[in-house]
Amino acid sequence: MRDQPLLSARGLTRFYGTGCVSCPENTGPAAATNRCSACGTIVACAEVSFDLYPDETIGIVGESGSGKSTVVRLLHFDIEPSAGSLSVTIPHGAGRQSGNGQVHVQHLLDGTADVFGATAFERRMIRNTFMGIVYQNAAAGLRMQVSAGGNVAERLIAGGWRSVGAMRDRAAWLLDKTEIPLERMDELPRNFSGGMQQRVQIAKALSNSPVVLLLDEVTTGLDLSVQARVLDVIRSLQREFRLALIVVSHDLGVIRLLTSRTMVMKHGRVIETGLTDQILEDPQHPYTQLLVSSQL
Amino acid sequence: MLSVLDLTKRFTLHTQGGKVIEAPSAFSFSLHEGMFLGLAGPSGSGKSTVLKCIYRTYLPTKGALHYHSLLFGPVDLAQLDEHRMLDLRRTEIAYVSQFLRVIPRVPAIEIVASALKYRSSASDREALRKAAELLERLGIPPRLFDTYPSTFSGGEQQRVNIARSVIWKPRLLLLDEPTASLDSTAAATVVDILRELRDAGSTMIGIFHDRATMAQLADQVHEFPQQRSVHAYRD
Repeated sequence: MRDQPLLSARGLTRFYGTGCVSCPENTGPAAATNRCSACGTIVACAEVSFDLYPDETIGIVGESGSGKSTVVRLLHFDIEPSAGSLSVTIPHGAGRQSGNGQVHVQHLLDGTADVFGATAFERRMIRNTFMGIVYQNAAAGLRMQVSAGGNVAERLIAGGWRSVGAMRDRAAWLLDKTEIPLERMDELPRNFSGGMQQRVQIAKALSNSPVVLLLDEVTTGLDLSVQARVLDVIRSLQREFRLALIVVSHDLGVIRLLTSRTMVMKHGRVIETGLTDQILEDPQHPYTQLLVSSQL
Repeated sequence: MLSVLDLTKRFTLHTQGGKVIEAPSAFSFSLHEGMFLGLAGPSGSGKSTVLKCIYRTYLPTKGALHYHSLLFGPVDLAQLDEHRMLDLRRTEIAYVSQFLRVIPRVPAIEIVASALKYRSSASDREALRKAAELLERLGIPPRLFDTYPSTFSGGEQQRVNIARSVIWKPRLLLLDEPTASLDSTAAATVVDILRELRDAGSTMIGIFHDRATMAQLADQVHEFPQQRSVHAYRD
């Protein structure tokens, strides 16, 4: 019934520091810290494993510093893992709007290779062709001194596009999908409101028709009506493009709205996973219970 | 089709000093295809808990929920892999809760139509037509079809809730007080719709506070004793 998982992550781990044999027991929920008392290493995340299937939406919840953004950044190859593996299964021909990137990396996409072991070029190809990311801070995902349309085009070029006319059409189409008025396409995103900047980021992230979209606290800090509009855009695009999503948020409302399965993280470890309605209505771990009962 | 064996659900409230609430304990019944089982008993006796365990909104603490699925054959819903559980929710098991919980800013008719579209090859037009038919039958005035259900009355919301589950004719339907906030006319329509669904082969488990409604539908009624127990201890 189900296809193979798109992404299969095993034991994702990221240290900041030298690391020592005591790190595993000195950090995590039981130790109530991310910092190893023996060597001072920060364990941003450790032993995170999951499968993401086509069309599926997984939520990652947890407080700041729980490691949820680290997981997403590892998946997007923004940072290198200290340990762990990631295999990717993408049938030939997916990533419809891509340039020629797929040709170079197809041998890595049959689910058997650990893509963390691929070259920097290959990883960039995989990212630019099949993944999109939207960061909490628009400045991390957009170049503020380049126009909204230019930001989208930049990602298209990275994905192998070359025709200026085709890129401009594609950018206009995407900005329209994310409800950015076309007459503002040539303006700089720094003149945009926070909600608009997020929508430009979404347009950029979707430019190569990614198979997986990573959303890192995309609505945090936006006021409620703007947040609603951004979420509406995400939901309709998710349905239209049959995207697999990983949604990182500390907002349980966003998680309930967008996801079907949820992982709860604390001090760099996954402490609980389950169906989203089960996590919200019958949380098992003391921390998840606290989180759910603290929801307004 | 479904047999529940010694189902026990215990809630450990870590935020409240590890207080344990048990409801129900060692509950068993079995259900064959096409049957309508009613669950009756005082509030707090664990009726809703049983439905939520079957739907896996609650994780059963002990016991087994043997279900003969079309998709995977015999499975234990208490242990089933999450993806498979989601597949079953998409293709054969539906749950009508007491309260409508929907995505905000989606019109009523869209909520009902998309429940069908998501599960079948029905075209947009076909799904919208069926949704309109069903909502109208349930007494929702067509001028409200394009309105967000958050502005609806409790009874109207409940009817949208029922419509989005019955529209795709699930194989197993779990109903938690589906007629609680309805007037007698609307309740009678719901009873008719559920009967038709059962006659077409669906199996159902329902909680009704109104014994008369229950009598019109249920082939068998399981009575819950008042049994919720609370033990306070630290974990």
